[in-house]
Amino acid sequence: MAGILAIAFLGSLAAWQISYLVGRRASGWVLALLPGGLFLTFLRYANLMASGQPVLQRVPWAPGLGIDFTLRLDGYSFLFALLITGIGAFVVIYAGEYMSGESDRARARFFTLLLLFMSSMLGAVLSDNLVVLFLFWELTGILSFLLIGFHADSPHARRSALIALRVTAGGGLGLLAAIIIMGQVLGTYSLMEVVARYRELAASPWVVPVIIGLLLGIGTKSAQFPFQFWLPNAMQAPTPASAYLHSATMVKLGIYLLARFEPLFGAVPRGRDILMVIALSTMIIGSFQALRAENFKTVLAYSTVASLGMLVMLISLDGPAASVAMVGYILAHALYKATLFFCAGSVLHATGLSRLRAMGGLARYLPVTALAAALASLSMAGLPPFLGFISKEFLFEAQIESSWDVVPLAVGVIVNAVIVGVAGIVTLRPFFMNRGRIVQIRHGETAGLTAGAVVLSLLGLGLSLEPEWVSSAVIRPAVSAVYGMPVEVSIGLWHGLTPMLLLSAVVIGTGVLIFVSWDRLHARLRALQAERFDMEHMWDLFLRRIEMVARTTARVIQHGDLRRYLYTVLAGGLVFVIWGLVGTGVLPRLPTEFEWRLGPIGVVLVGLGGGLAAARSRTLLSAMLAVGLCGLVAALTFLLNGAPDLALTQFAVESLVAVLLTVVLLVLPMRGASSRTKRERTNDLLLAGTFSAVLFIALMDLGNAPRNTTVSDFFGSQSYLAAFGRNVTNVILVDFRGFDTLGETTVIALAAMFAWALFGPRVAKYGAGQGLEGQSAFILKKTSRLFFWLLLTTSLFVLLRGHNEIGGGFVGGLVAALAFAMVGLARGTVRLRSVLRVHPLVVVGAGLLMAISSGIPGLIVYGDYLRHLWVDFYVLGIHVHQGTTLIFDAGVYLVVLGSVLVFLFAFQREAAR
Amino acid sequence: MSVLYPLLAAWLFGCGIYMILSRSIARIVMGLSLIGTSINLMIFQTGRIGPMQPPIIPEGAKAHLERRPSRRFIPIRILRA
Repeated sequence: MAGILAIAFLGSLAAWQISYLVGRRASGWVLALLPGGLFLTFLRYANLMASGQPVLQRVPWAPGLGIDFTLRLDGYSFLFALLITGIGAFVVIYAGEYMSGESDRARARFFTLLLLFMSSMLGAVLSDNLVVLFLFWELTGILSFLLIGFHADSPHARRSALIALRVTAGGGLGLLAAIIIMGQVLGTYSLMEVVARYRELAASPWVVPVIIGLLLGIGTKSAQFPFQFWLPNAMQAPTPASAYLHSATMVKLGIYLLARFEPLFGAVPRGRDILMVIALSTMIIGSFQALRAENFKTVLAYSTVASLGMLVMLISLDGPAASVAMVGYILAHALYKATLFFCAGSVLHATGLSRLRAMGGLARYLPVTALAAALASLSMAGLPPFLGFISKEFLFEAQIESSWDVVPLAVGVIVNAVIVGVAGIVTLRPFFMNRGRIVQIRHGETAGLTAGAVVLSLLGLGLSLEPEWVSSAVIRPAVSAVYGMPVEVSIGLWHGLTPMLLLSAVVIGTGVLIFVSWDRLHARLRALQAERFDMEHMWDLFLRRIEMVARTTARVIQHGDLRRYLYTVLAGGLVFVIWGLVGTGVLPRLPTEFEWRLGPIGVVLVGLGGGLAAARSRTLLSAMLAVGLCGLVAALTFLLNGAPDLALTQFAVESLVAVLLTVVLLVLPMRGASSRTKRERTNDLLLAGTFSAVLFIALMDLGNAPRNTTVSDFFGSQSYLAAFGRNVTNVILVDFRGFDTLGETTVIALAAMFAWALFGPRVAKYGAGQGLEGQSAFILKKTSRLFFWLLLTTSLFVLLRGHNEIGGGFVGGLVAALAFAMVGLARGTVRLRSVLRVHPLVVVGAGLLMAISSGIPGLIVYGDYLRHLWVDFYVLGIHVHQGTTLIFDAGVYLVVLGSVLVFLFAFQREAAR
Repeated sequence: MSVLYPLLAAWLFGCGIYMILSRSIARIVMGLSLIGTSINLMIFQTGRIGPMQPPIIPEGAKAHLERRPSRRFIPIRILRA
């Protein structure tokens, strides 16, 4: 079976090419070979099905998740597989003719979509695994979206397609939820097992969400109230697609699944009642709208809605007769509805008219179509000796036999009467009455347009006259599969004088009455202006409401005010931290001993003062100085506590920040009015103070928490032994954690590139920083050359000694950048560029390349990337022990230098504008 | 020490927050700079503070000497600029 499915999908995809190859006339006939062949393949299972033996095939897919590609063919799936492939073949033939006016490309697309749609339907009815079933279920939804919106240039078609997709896919989410809950509750995703263990499921507390999810999925797919409105809209699809959608596929998929889950609904209290209410509402609305509708196809669409309601009603009834009636009704409905759609499409194609009132006397021009429509309508009306008659007899039998009271029966009689009336209207009015109304048509009938209609309508007659084969091979196995145990089905036209026959007579009598008084009835109903209560209208309102809520939410949350954002984040974070502190009741660990040393106390006091001064300062210059002071305090703290590397870096960074800020300061107003009101400042102070206090407690706790020194001890002991470096910090950076450093270096390089991209185009326009030239002090200008060489030499020294003494590539790069920044500050960027000679990004790139390639020797020798190699050699009698770490560090040096210069250039030119 | 340095870091952070809540872009930038300094101090404190020698092995000394290595400097400042 997996093979059949694979052929279906592959064949559908090949249809694109085949449609081009075969050409306009024959492509429908040729492509029909695919569904036709599949139909014959399935027929070979008929004997097996008649014996009641299901076929199972399991292809492992994701066994760990309980998802296997399990396929299962039983009587009920068999019925659907035959309908899907059989009617599919005729739909394809019909489409070949119907779409002959379209371009080659459009036809190829239509065929591909149609056949893919067929394949997905097949997949859905064959899957046993619910997750796989859901996958195919959604695939049919997406493909029906594409088919309904096939004429994408029509806004109406686009809208209809969107409605169908939103409704069915939205309901599909409900189905997915139900499937997952069932899988969690029962531990299996097998449809058969879930259905077999329905009592367990019904007893679980999760049964209500499961029922709701199933109803959502099924109700939307099968156009049940209140989701019925998408189906008439789906009429925008080209007629072959509508015929297929309405008769054998899509809407029947919900019915298929609902019937599978019937035992579950039966076991849940009021489960059947809910189904019955939904079904009756759908039936009434469908028949009411069918009488109101004006267009040929719309009338048919609403009659489908009524029929779908009828099917759900049959499922909600208990007893074997209901199952027989449902299966029979599915078969009869598929045959006559497909035929009628074919006929409606032919009429539309031949006359260009869609309104029923405008048509008349078409039997003269389209005799075969008229005949087929008449046969199908007789079956639809349920007149003997057609299949529709038998299914209607069973329908009434099921209603009488079941434990229900008179309401469903009454609704059933009325709705069936309406269907009889509609059957008369859609056949007699356009084809046989009002002969003078149409005097010429665009084209006559062709074999492609009539083949499907004729064969399917004749089947509706033939199957009831010779019911033996179909009842034993199709209906009985299907009923048994649905009902859960073998059911004896006797199909015959004449059951004697029964209550059912009497009801049929009442129905037909009323139907004729409706037909005769249609003109007046129709006018009355149209005058009602029921559009206000239309579900489609409500749906639009619903969508608009959702959009409004989304817009309001966005406006409230994304207001664009930085202060409010910061308040939200800071205050929110604070609430959580305080909550965590208070809620857990764990007191912060406080220091037990205090050690007061004068040096650190002084440094910290300076830092506190610096922070305060920065926050309170009125001018930019004083704020900058205060911030710089804080940075220096941090550097001193590092220095006092055994981290000279950090201190050196911090010093270099502070100097650079000073230079960069100076550039900016030259163009910003030095003193501005306070941007906050007094009240705002008080609030800000409160927030900052609280945050600071909480942070203080957290940091004290952190400082007194026990500490694990395993990693530091390892680095400390191995630094010289394994990596030949006495500066442990540097060894960690270039060797032990070299990969991390490489990553960080790359980040810096990328940041520089992005910054250049951001500023670059604008920068290129300027003659570069003339504005700064001559503004700097005479002494600074004169000494800048000296400082430049001094700093540059220092930076190289810092770089070279880094592995054993304080220093390293990062600090070296910063110091070198400082050297260039001095030149830039003193003599402008033009001069700076001539000193640098190359583009700063070239420096960045060269550095990155060095850092990356420094790992390659290790890769070649040891097969370990970034494992550094060491060599010993003598220069002028001096022993040199050097490793590839130096290349790595030099790369870092260049990247840092280049990146800082990029920012420097960008800032200076921005400032010069 | 275990009181002073947390106090400094928390204080600077608070000052930084006060500054970034301003509407002036220059003050926001400098507030971020203060917060960056504070964060560097905090990271430093995760290694516990106490008077100690720098993590540099003296020349000729035994390589496996008890020694506390330094924390890594996060290049946050350069990105911030």
